[in-house]
Amino acid sequence: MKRLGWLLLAVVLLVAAAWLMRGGESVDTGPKRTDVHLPRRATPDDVKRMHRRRTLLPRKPASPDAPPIVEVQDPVLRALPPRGPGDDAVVVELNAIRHSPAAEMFLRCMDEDAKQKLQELRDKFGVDPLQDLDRFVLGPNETVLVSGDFADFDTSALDGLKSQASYGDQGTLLEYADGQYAATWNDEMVIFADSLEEAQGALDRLEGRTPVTESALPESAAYGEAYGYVGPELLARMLPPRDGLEEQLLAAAQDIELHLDTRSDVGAVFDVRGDDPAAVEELGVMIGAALSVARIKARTDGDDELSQLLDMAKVIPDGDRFRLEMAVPLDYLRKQLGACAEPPAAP
Amino acid sequence: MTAWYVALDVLREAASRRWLLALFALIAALLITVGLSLEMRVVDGALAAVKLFGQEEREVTVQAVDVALRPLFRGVSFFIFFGGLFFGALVTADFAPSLLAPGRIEHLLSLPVRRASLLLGTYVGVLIIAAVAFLFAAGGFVLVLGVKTGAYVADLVYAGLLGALTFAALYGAMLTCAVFVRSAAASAFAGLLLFAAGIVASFRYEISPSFSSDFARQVFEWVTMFLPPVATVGQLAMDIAASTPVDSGALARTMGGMVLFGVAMVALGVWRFERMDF
Repeated sequence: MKRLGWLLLAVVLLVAAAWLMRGGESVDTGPKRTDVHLPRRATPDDVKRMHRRRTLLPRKPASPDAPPIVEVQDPVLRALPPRGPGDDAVVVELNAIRHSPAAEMFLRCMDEDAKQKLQELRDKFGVDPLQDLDRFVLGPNETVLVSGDFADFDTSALDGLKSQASYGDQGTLLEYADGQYAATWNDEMVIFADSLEEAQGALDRLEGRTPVTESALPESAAYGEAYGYVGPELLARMLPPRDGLEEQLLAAAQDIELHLDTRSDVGAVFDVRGDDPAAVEELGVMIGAALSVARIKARTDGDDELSQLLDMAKVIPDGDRFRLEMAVPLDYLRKQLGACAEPPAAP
Repeated sequence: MTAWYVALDVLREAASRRWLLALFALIAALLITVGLSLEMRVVDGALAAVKLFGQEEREVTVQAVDVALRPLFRGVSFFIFFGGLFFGALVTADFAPSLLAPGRIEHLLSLPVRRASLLLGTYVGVLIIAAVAFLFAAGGFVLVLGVKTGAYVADLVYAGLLGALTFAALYGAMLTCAVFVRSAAASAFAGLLLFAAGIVASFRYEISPSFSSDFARQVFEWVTMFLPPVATVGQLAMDIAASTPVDSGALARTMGGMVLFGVAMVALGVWRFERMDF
């Protein structure tokens, strides 16, 4: 029996080992879900959306004797004035963002006061900001353009409206007491401008009365839920503070192209280009170092969530340009918003 | 206590083994090569550029250095874990058969040492050697990269520790095989077979549906249930090395099971050893 003791012990230990090892099979191995989708290029859905938005628009022929030209283009991109160096031109896909998981959480957490204000806007202007708006564009020369369904838009409800008059085939020009102008087009676009010429210019471009110049935003850059060109100041404000960073951004960055994706999590890509590759490389290193220092500080302060967010921020150099990638997982937003972000339980 | 003296004896014997010394020399050579060939430019804790073997400086993703090096730590952890188990099984296969070699075993049995202590001491001694090798490789790499970058990431050392604990399961089977067969080749074969079978056991739920016969599937599931899930632990070691959060409760269970498996194998070896005549 004494000799059998070791054998019995072996069997008991083997069974116990199997029980423990199989119990540990719930161990979740492999790369964890840190792969937030980042808008590095247009997806098939972006291309489909781009094609869907193309509309037949008249174009002014090169000479008065030439036959009329009609071309397909996105009217919102056509309406924008040309972009000069350093000008902003950013499109925000309001409707797409409104239906994104992140926005759904924010809307669930909206308080009664905010809901009341939204209702007042609906009642006053005949436009539901959560349903009728499609895109918001901050264009060059401080032009603001909003597209969507404006069939019930009541222009007389606008504060300070001085006069309004039809312009062109489907346009209306509005003048305000404070010297601001606006234009509406085809019940689908409202354009706010600093001058009458800007407002008229947008309608002229849409209806082919002026030669079409290069758009402020090419179709190839129209992907993601927000996209366009931003100034260095905006990017500097989004980054952790660092001595000389803003100056280096102003000196080295010629173009900063932004793309934001909100289809699942929130991912942002800034494509920074410049004429001097050495200055651009130095700028990339400065941004990477600023993010690294901020991450160390977050860890030192015990802010693990911020530290994990900064883990996902990186700079990918590529000659005279670099890509700055940042991501905010939906779980992070959910934790920040708290219980109100959870969907209501099914009945 | 006598088992501990046997373990010390194994360590003394290990110092004279050429293959074992060659293994440590190889690890040291690899670490020195990495240390001499790799240059990194780090700016405020962010990795900015890498230079390998004196080549032109290469631009890399600019990121906090410990984050940027995670894929490297993951790869090194894979190499240390699976390479360590494989070479460990080969290099340590001769310890138990030499203990049982004619002439030596009779001498040992004439001493006031219990048979169980002899086996247990050998097991502990070899495990100490394996643990030192795993920790030397992992800790050395952490140290080399720490000197280069200023970031000392200890997670790879924990991954190395998982390798040492997994080796405890393999060596338990190797020791018992040596008791039954008294052959270094058979002992190494048993270790490598369990290593391979443990990888298969890690994917038992993925593999079992491919059996067309219910009986074969049942047999496969029963057999693999008792085998250490080597690949699962290897994957966990890589996750830990890359600072990926893991379920610590489930990890503790798996590693506890690994160690118990090794001890169960040793108990089986002792049972056989007690019944042997020399």
